[in-house]
Amino acid sequence: MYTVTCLSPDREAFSFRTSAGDSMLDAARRAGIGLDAPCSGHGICGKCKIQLISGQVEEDQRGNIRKEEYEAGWRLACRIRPLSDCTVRIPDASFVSRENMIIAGSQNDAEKASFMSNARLAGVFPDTDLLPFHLQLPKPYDRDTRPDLERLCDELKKAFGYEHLRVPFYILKSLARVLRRGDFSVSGVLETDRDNRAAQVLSIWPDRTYRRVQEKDIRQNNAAGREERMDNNACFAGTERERLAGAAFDIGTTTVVGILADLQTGEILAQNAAANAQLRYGADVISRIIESCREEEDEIKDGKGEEWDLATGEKDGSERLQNALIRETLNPMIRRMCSEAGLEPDRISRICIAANTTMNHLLCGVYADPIRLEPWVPSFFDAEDIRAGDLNILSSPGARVILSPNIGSYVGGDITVGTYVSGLWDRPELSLFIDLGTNGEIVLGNKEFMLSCACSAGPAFEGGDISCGMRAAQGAVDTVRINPQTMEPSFTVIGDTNPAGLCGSGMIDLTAELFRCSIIDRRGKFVRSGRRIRRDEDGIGFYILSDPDRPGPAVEFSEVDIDNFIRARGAVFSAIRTMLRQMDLSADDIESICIAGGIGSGINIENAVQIGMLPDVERSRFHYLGNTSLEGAYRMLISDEAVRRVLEVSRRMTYIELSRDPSYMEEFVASCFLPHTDETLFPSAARKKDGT
Amino acid sequence: MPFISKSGKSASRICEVTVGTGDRAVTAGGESSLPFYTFDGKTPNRPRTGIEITDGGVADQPAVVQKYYDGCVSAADMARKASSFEGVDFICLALTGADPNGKNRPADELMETVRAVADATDLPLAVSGCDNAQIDAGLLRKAAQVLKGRNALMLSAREENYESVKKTAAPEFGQNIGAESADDINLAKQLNILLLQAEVPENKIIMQPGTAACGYGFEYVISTIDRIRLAALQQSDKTLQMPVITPVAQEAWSVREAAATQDEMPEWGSQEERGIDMEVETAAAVLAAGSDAVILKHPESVRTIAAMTAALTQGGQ
Repeated sequence: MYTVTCLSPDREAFSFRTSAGDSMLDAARRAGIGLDAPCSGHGICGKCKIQLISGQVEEDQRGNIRKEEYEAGWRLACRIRPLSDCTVRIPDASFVSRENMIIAGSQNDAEKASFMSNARLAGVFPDTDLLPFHLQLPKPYDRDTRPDLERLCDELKKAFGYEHLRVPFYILKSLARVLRRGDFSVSGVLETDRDNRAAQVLSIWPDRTYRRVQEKDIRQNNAAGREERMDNNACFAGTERERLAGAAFDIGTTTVVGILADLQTGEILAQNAAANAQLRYGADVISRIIESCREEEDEIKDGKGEEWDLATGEKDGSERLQNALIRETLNPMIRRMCSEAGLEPDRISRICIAANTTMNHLLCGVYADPIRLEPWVPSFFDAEDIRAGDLNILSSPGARVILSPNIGSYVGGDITVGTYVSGLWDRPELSLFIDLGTNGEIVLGNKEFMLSCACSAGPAFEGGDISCGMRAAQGAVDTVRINPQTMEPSFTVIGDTNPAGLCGSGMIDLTAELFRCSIIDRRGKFVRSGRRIRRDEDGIGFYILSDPDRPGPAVEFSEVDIDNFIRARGAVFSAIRTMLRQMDLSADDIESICIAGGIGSGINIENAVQIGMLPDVERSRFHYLGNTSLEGAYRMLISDEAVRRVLEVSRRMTYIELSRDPSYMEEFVASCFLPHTDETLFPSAARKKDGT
Repeated sequence: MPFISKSGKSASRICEVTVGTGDRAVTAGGESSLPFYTFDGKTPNRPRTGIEITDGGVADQPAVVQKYYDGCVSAADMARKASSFEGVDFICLALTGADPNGKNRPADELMETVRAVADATDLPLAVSGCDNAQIDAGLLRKAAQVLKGRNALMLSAREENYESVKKTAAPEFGQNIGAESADDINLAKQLNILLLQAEVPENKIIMQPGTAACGYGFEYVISTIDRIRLAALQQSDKTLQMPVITPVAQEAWSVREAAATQDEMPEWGSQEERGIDMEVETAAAVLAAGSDAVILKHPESVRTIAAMTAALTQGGQ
C-alpha cells in the first residue's frame, strides 16, 4: 500500500492509496478519481497522461509518449504501478469530470428557454397522462374500519370517477406509513388510461402542506359529526402546487446530458451533464458490447454454462455496464438536479431517454451481443412499459421509462428524436439530418420517405483516436485560424484557459486551415516546414498548436491524427453520397441540411465543406441544431403527443446498412482525400484554394 | 432485325508519354478509343513490350529463361543481348538485390550496374526497385542521376514516397515516373493528383495501378484498369488520362504454375511452356483491359505479345 499525492493546476492537492499490483489508473479509479482512458487502460489511447514528480514506479512500456515528454516525467497512468509513495501531476485534460463537460444545447437560460419556445413553435404543449392529486382521506374510526388500500381507492374513485384503479405492490408496502405520517392527507400521482376510466397510482406521499392549510376545516367537519368526506373540489385545494416532475436524458456513448422539467408547465428546473461512466470499458459501442458479454463467455468456456442465465446471472458483464450507466452516471445526475431544483427524487414521475441502440440495450441490461454480429439484429426497437423500479433509476419506482425507439442496430432512439425535432419528417422539401457524435448518423428524406444510416466515423469528433483530441470541455480548442505566411495560429479555447486539447470543431478548423495554407497536401501530409512543424523519430510530421516554447505536453496535430480525422470525415461524406445515390439524387436536390451533435460550440460550416465533410451546396441551406437528442427527449417527456409522433417517425424510417452496399467502400476511399478525389464535387473549395 | 453498332467514339484521348531518346525512343498512349477498338478511334502507338532483367544477372533468371542468354553473366550482358530479341521495345532493370531481407546490396554497387546496363544498350530504359518504398525512393533518385539524359522510366512512385521520387522528373534529371497504387481507381487518381500538384508534367507520368498473375486476384487488376480507361475516355477525367503500364514478369513467374519444375510436377508438362503461357495470358488480358505497356521476362512471351499487339492495332506503328 502506497500513497499517491496528486497535484493539478486548478485543484487542491489530494491523495489516494494503491494496492499491490494496481496500475496507477486502476488505483485512481478505485478511489473515485475519473481519469480519462477510453482504451480501458491498454496503453493505446494515451489519454491518461500524468507527470511523475517523485517516487518509484514499475512500468510496462513507454506507450505513445514522445521522448522529450518521457524525459520530463510524463507517463501513462495505465502503464505504471507504484513501488513507493509517489507524487504526480494530473493535467486537466486527463480528468473525466462533470465540471468539465460542455452541455451543448442547454448551456444557459436562453437555451433552456429555447427548448420550451421551440416546442411551442412546433405545436408541442405539456400534456401527459399523469395527474397529480391531493386528497384528504376520512380517518378511520370505530364505524369506518376500511383497510388503508380500500380507503385510498374508494376516495380516488369518488374524486375522479375511475372504474378501475391499480395499486402496485411498492405503493401497498408503504401505504400504512404514508397515510399515518400525513394524518390521512396524501398527495400523489396517477397515471391515467387514455379513456380516463382507469388509472394506476404511481406514487403517494404524506401531504403536510395540505393538512396545515385545511386543518381548521377538517376539525370543524369532525366536530359537526358529519361523515368525513372531501368533495371533489377540495381535492386541489392545496395552496402550494406540487410539482409534477420528470427527467429527460440524452445518453451518448461518451457524454450523458440530462434535464429535470416540470411536466405541467414545461419549465426546465435543472440540468446536468456527465461523462458516461461506461467509458472505462471502452470508447466505442463495440468494446462496450464485448465487455458486457465477457463473463458469460468465460463461464461457457469453463463448462459451467448449463445453468447460466442471462437474466439473473450475477455480477455478469451486462450488469456491470448497467450499473456504470445507472448507478454511477444517471442516479448521481438525478440527485444533483433534484437538489438544485429542491425536489425529492421520488417525485420524478416520468423519465425519457434518447440513446443509441447499444446504450438502450445496456441501459436495460439486455444481452447485446447480436448487435455487433452479422446480421446485426438488436433485441428490440421499441420497449414498452419499463418502470424506473425495474432499472433501479432514482425516482418514483413506478415512473415510466420511455425509450425513444431505435431504427436499426446502429441508428438508435437519439436519431429518431433528432429527426423528429428537425422537422424533416413533416416537410415536403428534401432534407438531410446529420448527427455527429461518436460515429455519425444520417437521415435523408421528407414527409414522403425517410432513409437512415450509420457511418462508422469512429470517436474522432469527440476526441477519440486523436492524440490531443478531447471532448468539447474546458481547455478544448474549438476554433482555429492560421496565418498563411507565418503559419502561426490564432485560436479560441473553451473556458478561456490554456489549451489542453482539440475538440471536434477545432479539428475541422485546424484541418481546413492547414489545407488552406498549403501546409498539408491533399492526403494530409506536411509539405511545408517551419517553427510550428516538427517531425518525430519516425519521420511523422506534426503541427504544434500551443506555444512551442511553453513547457509541458504541447497541443499537437500529427499526420496520424490528420489521417484518422480525414477518415472520420470521409465516412460521413461517403455515407451521404451512398445514400443520395441509392435514391438517385444529387447533393443539389437537398434543400436543407440540419446538423446536430455536441462536438463543440457549433461547427464552422464553411471549413467543414472545404475539407470535404459536408456537401458543397449553398451555405444558407445549413442549419446547426445543437443537441437534438436531448431536445427530443424533453418533448417526449412533456407531451404524449410527441411520444406518439416519435414512434410514427421510427416506423416510417427505412434503415440502410452501408456495409451491405458494394459501392460504399469505393465512396469511402474516394473521400479520403482533401477535399475529395473527385474535385468537381467541391467547386467552391477549388475556387477558394486558387484565391489564396 | 438489322444490327446497329453503337459508336464508342470518345472526345478524349490518353496522354502520350515518350521513354528513351533518339531513334529507339518509344511512345505509349495517345489512343482515343478503348483498347484495340481501332474502328472507334485512333491508336497511334501500339502497346509497348518491355523485357525485365535484374541486377543479379543471368543467375537470377529461371533455368528456362537462362538458355536464351547464352554467354551472358551480368545484367549489362543481358541488356546487350535482349536488345536484339524480337519485339523488345524497352528494357526494365529491376534492382531486386537491394531488398534488405535478400541480398541487401548497397546502392552504390547497384548504380554501377545501372550505369553498365545503360552503356550496353541504346533501348529505352526503365528502372524498378525492390518493393520497399523507402529504399526504392533512394535508389530511384540515384538511378535518375546516373541515367541523366536517357529519359528513362522510374518505377515507381507510391503514396508513401512520391515526394521523394517526384524529384526524378525535375528538369535536371528529366525522367518519367510510374505512379503505383494498389487495385483501386480512387487511389490511382489520388496519386496522379498529388504528382500533378507537385508539378510533374502529365506527359511524364505512367500509371501502374496494380498487377497480379492470372487467377491470383486478377479480376481486381482487370476491373481497375478497365474503369480507369472508361473514366479517362468517357468521363474525360484528366487526372486518369495517363497511359497504364503493367509489370507482369515477376508476378507471372512467381506462381506455382510457372515456378514448379517439370520434375516437381511431371503431369503438368513443360515448365517453359507453362511459364510462357502464364505470362502471355496475363499480359494479353491486361492489354485488353487497357494497359499501354507490359513488362515480361521470357523472350518468347515478348515476341508473342508484340506480334499480337501489332496485329490488333494494324494502323499503329
